[in-house]
Amino acid sequence: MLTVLPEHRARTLTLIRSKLDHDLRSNLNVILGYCSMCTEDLASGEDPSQLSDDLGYIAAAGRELLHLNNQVSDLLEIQQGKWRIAPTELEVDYVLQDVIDEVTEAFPAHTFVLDGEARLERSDARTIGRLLCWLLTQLCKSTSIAFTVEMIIEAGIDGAIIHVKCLIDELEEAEHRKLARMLAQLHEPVPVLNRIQDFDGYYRSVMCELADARIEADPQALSCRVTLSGPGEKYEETDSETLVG
Amino acid sequence: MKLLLVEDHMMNREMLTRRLRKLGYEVVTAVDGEQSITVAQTELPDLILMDMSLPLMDGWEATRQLKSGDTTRHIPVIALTAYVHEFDREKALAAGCDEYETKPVDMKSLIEKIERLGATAGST
Repeated sequence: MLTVLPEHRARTLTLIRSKLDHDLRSNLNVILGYCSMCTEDLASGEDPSQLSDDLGYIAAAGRELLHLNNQVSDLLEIQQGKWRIAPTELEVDYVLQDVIDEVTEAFPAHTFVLDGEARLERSDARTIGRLLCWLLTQLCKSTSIAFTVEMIIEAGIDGAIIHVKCLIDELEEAEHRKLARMLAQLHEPVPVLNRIQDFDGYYRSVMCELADARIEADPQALSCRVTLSGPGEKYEETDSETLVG
Repeated sequence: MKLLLVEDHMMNREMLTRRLRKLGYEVVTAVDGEQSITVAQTELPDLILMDMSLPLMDGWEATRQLKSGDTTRHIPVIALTAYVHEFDREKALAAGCDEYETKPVDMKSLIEKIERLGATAGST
């Protein structure tokens, strides 16, 4: 059974809190800004037709705030010790095998290999597994250009953060830049807490587009690096970083 | 005064653009750090409002590059960010930002900074 270093937990918690704080303030900025604009527009007698759109923005930001508030509540309860932390082993290879099975079914002519295993001390293995699958399919679904993905999973107190860094060599064409922007959205740490929604339909629809992939994880690693390539390139390498003592 | 607003959050970008235009500013926009450099070089704005958390290239790196470019080093940069800790402010200033404004944005405070920095830049 692997253990998680205390400083590693603290760093993960700090990342979650920082991201929450950032997202809360961004959405508050939307709400306060549009409210001010609506007030000014009404006072100056401007065309009220714009108000409908502005109110829609306020409502959207409000819904996001509600979602974030749930995450804050979860975090507070964790810090107050109201949640019992029951370490659960997550066998990443089991989750990834799920992905491989799906791919194999869709592309019977290809060989897909899964080596090694890694365990995470987690209480929500299913969520992490789903996020893993989502990320993999997101990255493989539509490109013919070569790209490299580095994915590091950090176990937190109750939830994990998955860092994803995408490196894309060819950025000349407009569509490549668009894709790069899409992938770059994954640069920021992704808190797992309450994160996954509407997964299954999307997962099924994009999985069939995955052409070739091979994934490895180090048996002793809390984090694993997954390297994939687009359909035009072969899988190249895997690596891992041991974060536990 | 021409402003370059660099902001990846669509709703915040639209909102700030409209508010600044209503106040009489000309506003051009960019959605990530890389684009901010291109737009700054072509549009040569009088001042840049730079969100720090950006895709592709973050605001800190974009500011560093802008402040090292011959055609853009003179342009004042105001960091516009939802990161509010003191070390975030120090990090922004160390990257070359001339001022720092936190979200939610206090428009009165932001305008004061824009006018002050814009006037300083215009007089040099």
